[in-house]
Amino acid sequence: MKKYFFTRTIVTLIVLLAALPLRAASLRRVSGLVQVQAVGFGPWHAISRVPRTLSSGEKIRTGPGGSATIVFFDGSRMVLEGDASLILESITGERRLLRLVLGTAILDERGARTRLITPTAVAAVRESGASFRATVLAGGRTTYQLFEGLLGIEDNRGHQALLRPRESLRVDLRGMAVPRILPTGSQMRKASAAVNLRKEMGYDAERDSRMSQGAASVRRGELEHGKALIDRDGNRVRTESYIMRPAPNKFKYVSLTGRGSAIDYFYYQATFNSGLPEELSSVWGEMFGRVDTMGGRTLTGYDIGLSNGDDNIRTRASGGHAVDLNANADATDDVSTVFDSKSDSYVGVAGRSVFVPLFDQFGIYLNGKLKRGWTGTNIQAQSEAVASTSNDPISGAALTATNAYLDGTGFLASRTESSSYPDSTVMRQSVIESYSDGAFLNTDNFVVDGDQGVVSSSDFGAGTAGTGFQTRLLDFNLQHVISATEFGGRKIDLFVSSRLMVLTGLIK
Amino acid sequence: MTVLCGGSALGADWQSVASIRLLGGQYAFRGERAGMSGNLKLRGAVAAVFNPRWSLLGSLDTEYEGTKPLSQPVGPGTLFQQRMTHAVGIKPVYSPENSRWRFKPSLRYRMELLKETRDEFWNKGLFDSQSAVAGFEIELPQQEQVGFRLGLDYSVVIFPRYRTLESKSKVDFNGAPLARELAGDRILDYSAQTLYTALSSPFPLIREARFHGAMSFERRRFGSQPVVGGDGLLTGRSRIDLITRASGQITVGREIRRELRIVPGLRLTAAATVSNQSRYDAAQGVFSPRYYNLFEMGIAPSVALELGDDRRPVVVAFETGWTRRSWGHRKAQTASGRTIDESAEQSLWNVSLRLNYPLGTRLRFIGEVETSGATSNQNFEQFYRYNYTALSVLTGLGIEF
Repeated sequence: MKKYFFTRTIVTLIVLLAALPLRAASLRRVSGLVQVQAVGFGPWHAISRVPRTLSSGEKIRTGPGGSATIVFFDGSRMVLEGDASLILESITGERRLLRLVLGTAILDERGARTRLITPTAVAAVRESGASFRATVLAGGRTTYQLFEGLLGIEDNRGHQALLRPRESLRVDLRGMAVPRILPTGSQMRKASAAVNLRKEMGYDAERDSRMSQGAASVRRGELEHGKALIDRDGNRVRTESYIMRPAPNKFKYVSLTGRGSAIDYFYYQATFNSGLPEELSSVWGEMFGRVDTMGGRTLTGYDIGLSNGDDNIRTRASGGHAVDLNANADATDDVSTVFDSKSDSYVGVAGRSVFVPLFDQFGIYLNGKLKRGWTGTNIQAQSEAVASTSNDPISGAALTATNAYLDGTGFLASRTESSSYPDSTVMRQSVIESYSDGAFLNTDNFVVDGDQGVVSSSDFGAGTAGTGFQTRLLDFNLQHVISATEFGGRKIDLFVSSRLMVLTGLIK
Repeated sequence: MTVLCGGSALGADWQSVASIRLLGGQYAFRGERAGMSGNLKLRGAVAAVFNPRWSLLGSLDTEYEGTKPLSQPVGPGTLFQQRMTHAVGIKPVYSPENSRWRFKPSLRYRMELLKETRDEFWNKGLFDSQSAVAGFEIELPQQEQVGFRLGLDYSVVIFPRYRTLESKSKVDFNGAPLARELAGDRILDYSAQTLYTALSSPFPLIREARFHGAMSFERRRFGSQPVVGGDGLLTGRSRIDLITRASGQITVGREIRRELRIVPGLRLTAAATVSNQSRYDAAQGVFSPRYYNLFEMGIAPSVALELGDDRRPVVVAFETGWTRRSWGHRKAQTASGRTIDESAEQSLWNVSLRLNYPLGTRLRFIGEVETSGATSNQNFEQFYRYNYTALSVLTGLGIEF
């Protein structure tokens, strides 16, 4: 009996000793840095050789990029992935209590023994096995993804949820969210492809944006220069202006106005008695005249042309010479103010010498035929000029019906001029020249603003003349619409700089 | 609206996505309101994945804007503008075995149509443009939102309806020259080479922050646009612009409480344009060398609130922006056009509020209010507005699949 009892005790001990490792866990595979800390707070030991038995109370952690595979006695398997930390709290035959402090653990559970504790929740495998992933982030937020089986989860506040296959759940210190359905592998691939596609679409959009910005900057440059405008009817108007240099002592200012395929133009060609500088700003400033000193450069002639391609108006002047209007015999032409382009204002010059170019020959031609003109010899006042009646003022040729508009008696048709502002609310000036041959020449001058609307009279304080009016005019654009009997219903329609009109004295 | 579908045919796996956005709203400029109008945007892309190494992507974008966006230039008649853009592209993608690098040659064609005036019709607009781009890009994607790209584009941009008036007006009615020698015809057309790089990564100094930076160098050559000389005449050289752009953006995603996230962000931008083109102001007789040189810098803080399920959150985004433009060689002008002794500068600001509200798994409501303004010492505004305020209000729908 004693012998039997002794034998039985020995066998039981052997069985129990043999069974102990089976009820524990074993580290079967490691990759990268994997360390184990024995029970207590001893040093961490790097694991390089496997298998290694793990027991309750031991801690295991993996470094960045490392992984460790733990196999439990019942065949359950857990994989820890990089930067994970796990405590084997308790491992018995009936129950495993594991604490995942940080990182990702993938558990393939064969029974229902495992309880996985994280800083924010406890997960327990239900029924007979489950496969799931748990990820703990800094701050304790835990995400569970269940692939097979059932997983019961309870957060720190006592809320519970049962996770079913292909569901995920997020838990943090504030509690748990609503479980979500995990996508299938096929859905994942599609989603990944869609993400890449959208990313490429984003890259294409960046490229399109560069193209769009490039086109917009080019367009903005044209708009800033006033090359693309919109007229008062809402239609497209294009303008271009530039300087030409036909000779060292000449410049030709050209202004083109385009509507559809039609191009109307204006040019102003000035001739001086000496060469011109590259920058013409000083020349523009002297166009009307010089104050106090005569200076070395005088405008000796000019040639102005306006055309719509079919019709044209040409104004020519020659024989220019500087005259001090405030010292000549004609008191009616005295100048009291001149425009100062440096300050954009009119300055008083009464009593001072003001040298203004006067011309001995002047003529206006419509479609190549003289409309009106004058001549003189070294005139010292405009009143000394003699109106042309039977000879061309420029060429001196006798006037005929082929080179001039005659009145039926062999003389140049005489003219009367009237000017009015027919609209009381908008800045539109209408100048009508009536000729004794029954013809008319009508010029409508519209003052238009930056949005190409016709400016209202109130913008000018109802003024239509004087230095205040002309100074204010510089703030706007001008549109000239010219019609004439000889044009047969056609018009010359031009956008012209108001500054140019003031500087050249075309607006006085 | 985003549509995603896939399949297998012609020995390839096919994937496609598309999005549709339909908005209606109104644009106001300097207190004047344009009529109500709508915007429609369609975007689609398809990918044929032949094997893990090769795939072919095709994309199609088309957009109609009846409501003028605030980013468009503000020339005369700024209230009214309709715009259409259409683009198609093709892009093979090669990923070598055992490598993360992706190599992507590409071709893209884009057409932009503008209708700004009563007498302009679709495909007849003065500033309609077309661009073709051949590019090559390499990409090193690491994770989602993390990666590096480097690319080179060769592009050609043409304005088919734009020819200078000068080139069409050779002589005046006397037979005398009316155009300058060497006057260009299609002076807006240009070819460009663009080298660009972009980097997306976590931002190391701030937890949960992401950084996106981009930089590009572009050289534009306007082959038909001669450089203007000091006397106002044209030289034999063509205009060349060099444009350098850089931007950096940091966003931080933070969860305030369950299903409420806040995403503050900050974007910094800078751009410099150096041009050899000058300007001769004929009406004033003033020569301005390097007239188009421009330096821009901007800062744009933003904050977005995301409420609810992070897959379909309600997003309320508020963004502000400030940009400073300086034309170093361009003199500012008074209202009458007189130049003053200051370089032209402009400050632009904008404030926007955007709401993105899911109405279902696919449908979402979109609301956008944006206002912007500009102030400048450039007061000459007979042709272009440098001082203004503008407002754009848009609401509409999108559907997501």
